[in-house]
Amino acid sequence: MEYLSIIAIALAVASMLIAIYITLSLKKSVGVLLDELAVALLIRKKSRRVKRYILLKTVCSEDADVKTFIRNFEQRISKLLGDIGRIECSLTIASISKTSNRMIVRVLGDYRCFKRVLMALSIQHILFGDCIAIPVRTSGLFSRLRKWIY
Amino acid sequence: MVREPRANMLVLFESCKDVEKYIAEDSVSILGLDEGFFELCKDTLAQIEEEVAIIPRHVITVDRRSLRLAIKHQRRFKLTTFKPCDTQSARVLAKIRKNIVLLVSPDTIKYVDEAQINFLKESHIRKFLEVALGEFIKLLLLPSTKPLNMSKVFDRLGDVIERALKFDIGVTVAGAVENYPKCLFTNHIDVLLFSMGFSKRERRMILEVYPLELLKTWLGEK
Repeated sequence: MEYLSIIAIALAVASMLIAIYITLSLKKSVGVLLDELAVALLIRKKSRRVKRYILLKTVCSEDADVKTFIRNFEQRISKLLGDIGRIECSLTIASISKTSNRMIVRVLGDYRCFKRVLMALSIQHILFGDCIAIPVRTSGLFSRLRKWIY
Repeated sequence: MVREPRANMLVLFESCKDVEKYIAEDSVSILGLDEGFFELCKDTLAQIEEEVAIIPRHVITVDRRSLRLAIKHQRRFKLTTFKPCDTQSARVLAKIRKNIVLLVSPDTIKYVDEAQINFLKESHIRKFLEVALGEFIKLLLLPSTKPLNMSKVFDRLGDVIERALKFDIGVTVAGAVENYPKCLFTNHIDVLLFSMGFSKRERRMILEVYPLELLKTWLGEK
């Protein structure tokens, strides 16, 4: 009889330990899952990227070269955007018209990127001199700006 | 192409050719030039084909001692802007029964603040503010300026413009920075105001409506 009671107690203790272990591991895995969900939500919010196009008119002084300006264009704007801005905002030249000195720039990033890039475009000539980039029009569609580039 | 009725109240150029270039490239219809430079380029400016109102400008720095004398000897053939050097002169300028333009620059933002806007609101005669946006931008590009100070200055400027617009006090913008091409075009001014958070209506008021009203007031005075 004594043996039976000892075995019952041991089984009870073992089941209790198993229950505690399962609860703790379950809590831990639920916590990990919740953290993952939060990170996923945050990342999703951050990575909601907006694409905008800017039509620019380029005006260069007599001693400046438009080709050099276009070549260094992305570097110039990236310098003004700073390290974080450079990572967050992607800036590429989508189209150039050599006859009218106009170009379409694509900005990809969160909603603040567009404002930042516009600001950088407006002040870059004060810092670097030579060529001025005048934002003429902006749109979310490339096709809408294409007719203005002529 | 129809020119937009936009204004740049002051540009600092060194040659008459630069003015021609600026007018050819920008869609400006009211342009302010420094009084001395205006006299120098009178003949060249007369040949410009674009429909642009070019006005001679003069910026006077005033303090409490020189204020009375400056107002007394204010010449009417040029549009004068007053740059107050202390709070007292700024307050007196708000109370004077004359159409007066006050300069808002990094130096004067201490005196032409939100309290000053309240004084301007109470004035019986219409007063105008001229924001020297170029000088603020210059401050932004200086490597010695601390980011915190810079954001404070821009925050203050935004509050001043916002309050002035709220009380219907005329706000105009001058893109005076340096000589051509280091100047601000009207599109740049528009973009900078957009970046500061002003709506399309507010930007239109600053760039089109108030400058035209200022011009009318000035011509009416004359």
